[in-house]
Parts: sequence; structure tokens; C-alpha cells
Amino acid sequence: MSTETVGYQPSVDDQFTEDKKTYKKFTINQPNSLNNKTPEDAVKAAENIINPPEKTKTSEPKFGDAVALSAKDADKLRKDAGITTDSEKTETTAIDKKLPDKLQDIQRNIKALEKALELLLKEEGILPKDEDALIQMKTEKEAKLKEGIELNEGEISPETRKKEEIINQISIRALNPQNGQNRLENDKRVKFTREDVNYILYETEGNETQKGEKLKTYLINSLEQTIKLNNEAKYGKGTFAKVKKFFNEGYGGAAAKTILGGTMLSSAIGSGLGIFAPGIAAMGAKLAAEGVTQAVQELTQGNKRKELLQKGKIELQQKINQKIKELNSNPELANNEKYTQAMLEWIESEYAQEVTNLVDQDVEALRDMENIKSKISTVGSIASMLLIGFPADFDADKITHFVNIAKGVWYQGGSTIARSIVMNPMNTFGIVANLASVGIGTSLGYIFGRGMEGDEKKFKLGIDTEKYQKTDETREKTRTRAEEIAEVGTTIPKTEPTTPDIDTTPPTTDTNTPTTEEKTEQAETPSLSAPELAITKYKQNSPEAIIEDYQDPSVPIEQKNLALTQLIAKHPDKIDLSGNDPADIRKQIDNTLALAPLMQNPENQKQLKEMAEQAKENVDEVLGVPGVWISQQEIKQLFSNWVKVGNNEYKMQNDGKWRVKNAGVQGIPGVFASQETINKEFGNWVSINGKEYKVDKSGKWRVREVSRQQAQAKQEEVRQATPETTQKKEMNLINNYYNKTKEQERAQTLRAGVEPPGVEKTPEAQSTTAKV
Amino acid sequence: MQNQMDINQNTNPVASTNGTTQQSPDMQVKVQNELLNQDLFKSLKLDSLTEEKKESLKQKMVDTIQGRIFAHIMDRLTKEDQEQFKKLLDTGDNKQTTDFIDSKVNIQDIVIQEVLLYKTEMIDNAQKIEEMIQSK
Repeated sequence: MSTETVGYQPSVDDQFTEDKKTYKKFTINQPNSLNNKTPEDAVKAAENIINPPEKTKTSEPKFGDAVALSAKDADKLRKDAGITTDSEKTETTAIDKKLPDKLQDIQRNIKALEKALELLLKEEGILPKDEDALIQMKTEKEAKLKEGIELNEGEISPETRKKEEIINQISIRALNPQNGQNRLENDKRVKFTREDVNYILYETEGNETQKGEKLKTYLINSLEQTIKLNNEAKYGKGTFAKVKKFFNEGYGGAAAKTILGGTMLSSAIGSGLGIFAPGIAAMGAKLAAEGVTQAVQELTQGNKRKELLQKGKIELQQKINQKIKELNSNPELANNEKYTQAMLEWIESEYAQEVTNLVDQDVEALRDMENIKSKISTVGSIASMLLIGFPADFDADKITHFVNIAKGVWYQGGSTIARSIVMNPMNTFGIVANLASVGIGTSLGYIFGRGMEGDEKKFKLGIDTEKYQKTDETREKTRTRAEEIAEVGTTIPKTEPTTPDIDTTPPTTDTNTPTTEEKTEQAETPSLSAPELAITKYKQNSPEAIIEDYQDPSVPIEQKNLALTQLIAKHPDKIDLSGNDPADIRKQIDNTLALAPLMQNPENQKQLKEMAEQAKENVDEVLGVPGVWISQQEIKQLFSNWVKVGNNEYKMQNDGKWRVKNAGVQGIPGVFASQETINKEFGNWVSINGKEYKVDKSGKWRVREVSRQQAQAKQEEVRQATPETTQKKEMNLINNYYNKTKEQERAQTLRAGVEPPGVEKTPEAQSTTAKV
Repeated sequence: MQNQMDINQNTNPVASTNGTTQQSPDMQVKVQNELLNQDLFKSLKLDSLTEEKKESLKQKMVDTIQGRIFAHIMDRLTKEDQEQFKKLLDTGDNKQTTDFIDSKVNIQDIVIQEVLLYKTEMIDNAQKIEEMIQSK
């Protein structure tokens, strides 16, 4: 064994082909997309978020408030993030100076490699199938609305809040406070490892044995690199080399060979064969007492949480089946309505409790795993916890709201049943029979689907496609009705409006429930007056009350449209537009505008139009203009040759499959890129040949001519040709505009944990923006 | 071949009051022994590799475990002891250095822990990789 520890050496598997070496040459040491933002910067910024320098907390912490960090906690955060702590900084400065210049970067590379492996394992389905649940969850817009209700009602128990605070501590580490994104998702170094593994998958396509061997080999190499570099960075290259030399050659003379010499360890890797037998029996109890053995056991047993959820799913299924049997055998419940009622009552009581118990157990499991992580991390084995399915930093933000899922699960489960019963009362059995899987799936969806938005009690807007279609139908009907009105004209008595005048209506004291007068009025007033009632109400009500209307299933769709439009127009800070298609939102606003002819009061009509106009402006500002659909053929043509996007080049084959390679690398075919990769890379507007392109989740592409970036460039052109004083004014305007945009973007990304589409990107995110 | 499944079958976990599974110390020692005695290459299903390739990987594994052992030892030392240890290393007096380090840490414990953890970790990861491949 070599006793010399050397600097960073990429773990090139010697089975790799020359192609792979060439490929790696161009992929290694890619510029850090974090643009020199170090983890220290991120942690400092995180601390600023946690303890805003200009704000002092004077009230009791509310749900979702970040927890104030003590200096000790801050040190722990840094330590966990692999960053030198304040207390250690002084001691290690001297060592750091001895390190090669790039060693600090390399150390971070290693962390990224480990994360990337975990990423890959997850992508490839090695980790629990939570991602599937996430995808499912993303389509469950309604569940998000329910989530909004839950958050707005603020029914979070103190226990939950406490757990939330603990988990917040973990979650904050994964986020880049500069832009709210996961620090690693945007990190090209992660991509580097992912490319390596993708290459292995590509290279071994169809040969499962070889695939397994290569992946495992890669893992072994990576771990070796990790420990080597970690040690160098931690103790200094020189020191570690001396320690290694001593233990290999000097320690106890021949005794060393029997305990930690390479030969013995090599044997231990092989059959082991009792090399440690004399000591292990005596040591067993001690290890057990230290929790190491327990950790090992749990690691060996695999993902405890996964097992727990599986167990819970089965148990819930059994309980549901038992309940169905019980209800079916009750002659008093022969009536469908009674049966449904009994079932719903059970769901909202016993079933909800069962799920809550399950979640509590899972939270306990998480805490246990944290303890294990702590034990393992004390012996410096970061990879071991990252690769066992433990929800390490990378996922921590996604479990931020884990403890809330009990309610979410049963609520979602219950609402699913309720909806189905309404749609088809006879289908109750089938729906309920599936409840367990719905519940569990949704719980996972909640874990991974809920981002940081809940922390800020923001209302996550979800445009429901199904509802949206209904809205279209409604609009058609509405228009028809409006046209009828226009045609008959005088049939509508032009007397005093039946709705209260917008200026004279007293403010509603109860923002959530219509007053008795309102109810009577709504009941007695013809349907035409409903939008006017709503617009009056929304002008006076708090955003929270409007949100509630939007979420309330009993509120008519026209009124929901009004609520949505008013929210976007007047309270954009209260909602989160990310994840929605601007075209969908604009259409929804148009639906609202279609209500104008139904308003008898011209003032209300005017206000509605102003509101819609403002809402559209806000949508454009946050999400960008929607663009137009573009055919797959045109996309194929656009990508018929390699197109550079960020640090990669993409190409579409004739058969529609995508390939990707590193930008500038010639003479290689690239590797296949999954549709998921394409969706991710082009999920936000990407500039290609002077236009911007974007793909939605269904694979449809859109193009637009004008972007904010282009507009800014245009303004810059104007500035160049404008006198200085005017230039200053314009620059101020531009600066103000972009500062505002960045603020919005930051808030948005913090809420959603995703990059908002169509807005000017932060420097950290610039590297992912295509520049052709 | 003794593999991951064998271990699970032999562990006979006992459900604790909080719903988690725990084992008696005796059982834990048994698990440790089984784990230590496993041929890692067989457990990883890498025994079909060429001897040359296996030797190369084994060397990397040994390097990893050794690296972890050294890091573990260093972590167990106080700052002052670390400094003292470094000074002794510089003197080249192996006996004195050995005496010093033996008085501070139980190296055998650390070695066993690290071997155990590494083997567990690798078996666990290999299992996941196998699952991934099979599920495709």
C-alpha cells in the first residue's frame, strides 16, 4: 500500500473506455455554478435569514418561524455542512494554508459526489419510491388547496411546532439562502458524478451484471476518494501521511500487522474468519452500549422508514377492509346516504387517528435516524449515511413539513372519498378500498411535495386543470347568458341595483362566512348579481378571506375566478404562482373578465377590468409572458444539431430521443438524456437563437419572442443612445424594477424551493440559463 | 453464500415499546460476527470479477477503512493530544509513539467498528443497486 497521500485524483475506473476518459476530461472541474458562493456564504446567509439583523423577534414564534441559532448551533450547522467552525477556524488556519489551493474545492467536490450518488440512487429508484409519490402529488392540485386551508387555519399543535423547528434546523442547511434553491441541485459538480453514473448506465445498457459491477466499483472508488481527501483536508496532507506511515510501519512493530495492517484488513474484507475474534466478544456489549451495533443493525435492515410505511399501509388496508365489512353487515346502513355518512365519520375520526399514529411513529424513526447519523458522523463516515437512504441534508427541506402530513393524509384521503361518493355513490367500496394506498402515497407526496412555502404561510396557487375546463364551459354558458341579456336589453330592469353599492356597503366583519343578510341576499338575488357581490366582498376582505373563498369547494366557480384574479392583482405577495403555467392563469383571468357583462353596475365592471388587467401584469411580471405552442417537429428541427444550453449541448435524434454532452466536446455521441432531464433543463424559459423556449411536463413546447432579459438588453441599447441625465433616470427605473423582481423571485424560490420561470435569474442560477 | 438476507433472518429483532426493533447485546454481537465473517466480494456479488480487478478494489477498500480508522483515532484525541501525537510522529520514535497512542485509544475497538461499518455500508449499497437494476 502506498503511504503517500496525493491530491485529488478523479476516480477513473480502469474499466472505462478511452471515450469515457475523454468524456471525463471535459466534465471534471467544471466551473462551479455557485459562482464562488462558498458553503460559508450560504450558511451565513442562512443565519441572516434565521436571525435577520434588522429584525428582533418580540412575539411568540409562530408556526414555520425559523429557530434562532445560538453560536453553538451555528457551529454545528457549519460542522454538519462540512465547514470549518468558528471555534476551529483559528486552529485550522495554519493547516489550511498548507493545503493545495484547490483542496477546499475538492473537499466540497467530495460532498457533492456523495450527494450526487444519493441523487442518482433516488432517481434510479433505489431509495423509496417517494419521487413517484411526488409526481402524483404534483397533479393533486386540490390537495394543495387543502394544504392552504390547513396552514391558514393554523391548527398546528405545539408538539408539531416543536418538531417542525427541529426539522427546520436540518432543512436550512440544504438551501442556498441567496436564491432559496437547494445548493446542490444547481451544482455542476453534482452533475459531474451523475454524468459518471449515467455513463456507466449507458455503457452497460442491456448487461445487468456488468451494470451492477460497475456501479459498485464506482461506489468503492468514490468512498476511497472521499476518505482520502477528507483526511487530507482535515489534518493536512503532511500530517495524515505521517499518521498513515506510522500505523503501517511503526505502530507496535509486528502487532500492527495483526490489527490494522493492510493484510489483515484485506482478510477482513474477504472472509474475516475470526481475525478479530479474541476481541470482539468482549467488545460486543461495549459497542452495543455506544449504539454503534444498533446503527449497524439498522443499516443492515435497510430503510426503516420504508418498512414502517409499508407496514402502516398494510395495517391501514386491513382496518379499512374491516370497517367495510362492519358497515356492510349493518342493516341500518343499507341506505347509501347513511352508509356514506358512517364511512366519512369513521374516516374523520378513527382513520385519521390511525394515520396520525403512523406519522408519529415515522417522525420517531426520523429522529432515531438522526441519532444514528450523529453517531456515524463522529467517525467521519459521511458517505455511509448519505447512501443508506437516510434523509440527509439534500432531502431535509422536503421533509420540512413531514410532521404535518397526518392531517394532510386523512384530509386528502377523506376528500378523495367524499368527492368520489358525490360523483358515484355506489363506488364507495372501491374508493375506500384504495384509501390506504392513497393515504400513504399522499403522505409521501406531502413529505416531498411540500416545500418551504408552508413556513411562510404562503398560499400555493394551484390551477386545477379539471376545474379550469369546467370554467371554460361555465364561461361559454355565461357568455351565452350575457349575449341573451345584450340581445333582450330591456328585459333586465334598470332600476336600482339589487346588490349593495360598492361605496356604501359596510365592511364585512366576518370575513369567512357570509352574513345572514348576505346569504339571504345571495339566495334571493338573481345569479347575475353574484359576481358583483363577490367583487364588492373581495374589495373589502382580507387576502386570507379571499384565499379561503378560493379554496372553499362550495363557492361557485365564477366567484373562485374572481377571488383568484383579485388575489393576483392585489395580493401577489400572498400567493405563490410558481409551478403554474402563465397561460393557464391568464385564461383563468379571462374567464373572470367574461363576467363583466353580467354586472349591472358600470363601476363594478370597470373595477373588474382594472383588476384583471393588473392581475395579468402581475402574472407577466412573475412568470413571464406565456408564449405560443410550438410543434414537436419544429423542436426536432431546432435541435437537429447540437444546441448549447449552459454547460451542455443537446440534440434530438430522428426518433425523438434526446442526447446530451458537455459543451465544446467534439467527436463523441453524448449520452441519452431522459425526458425528465429535458423537462428539468427546459422547464424554465431558455434562450436559443434569440427566442425563448420552454417545455411543460407533458412534453409540449412553447416559444416566445420577448423576454425580460431581452427587454433589458433593449433598454440598455436605448440607454447607450440617451443623454446622461435621462440615462440615470432610466437606470434607476430599471434597477428598481429588477430589485423588485429579485425580491419577488427570492421570496418565491424560498417558498417553493424551485426556480421561478421567466424571471431574471440570480447570478447563482445564471449558469443554467442557455446562452447561445 | 451468506448475504444480506441471511443476516436479516438471523437477527430475530425484538419489538420495543416505541415500535422500533432492537436486539439484545448477545444478538448484536452475533450479527457483528456474521458480518465480519462475510466475504465482502461475495456479498457484493463481485466475486466474478477477475482476481486482478478484485485485488485493485480490495486495495481501495483497505485504503478507505484505514483512512477511516486513522480519522477515527485522530478524532478521539483531544487537540492537545493531537499536537503531542504529531510531535511524536516527527521524532520517529515508534515505541514512544505506540505507547502514547495505546494509552489514549483502543485501536482494536476502532478497527472493528470501522470494518463493521464499511462492510455494512457496502452490503447495504450493493443491495440497493441490485434492487435498482432488478426493478428496471
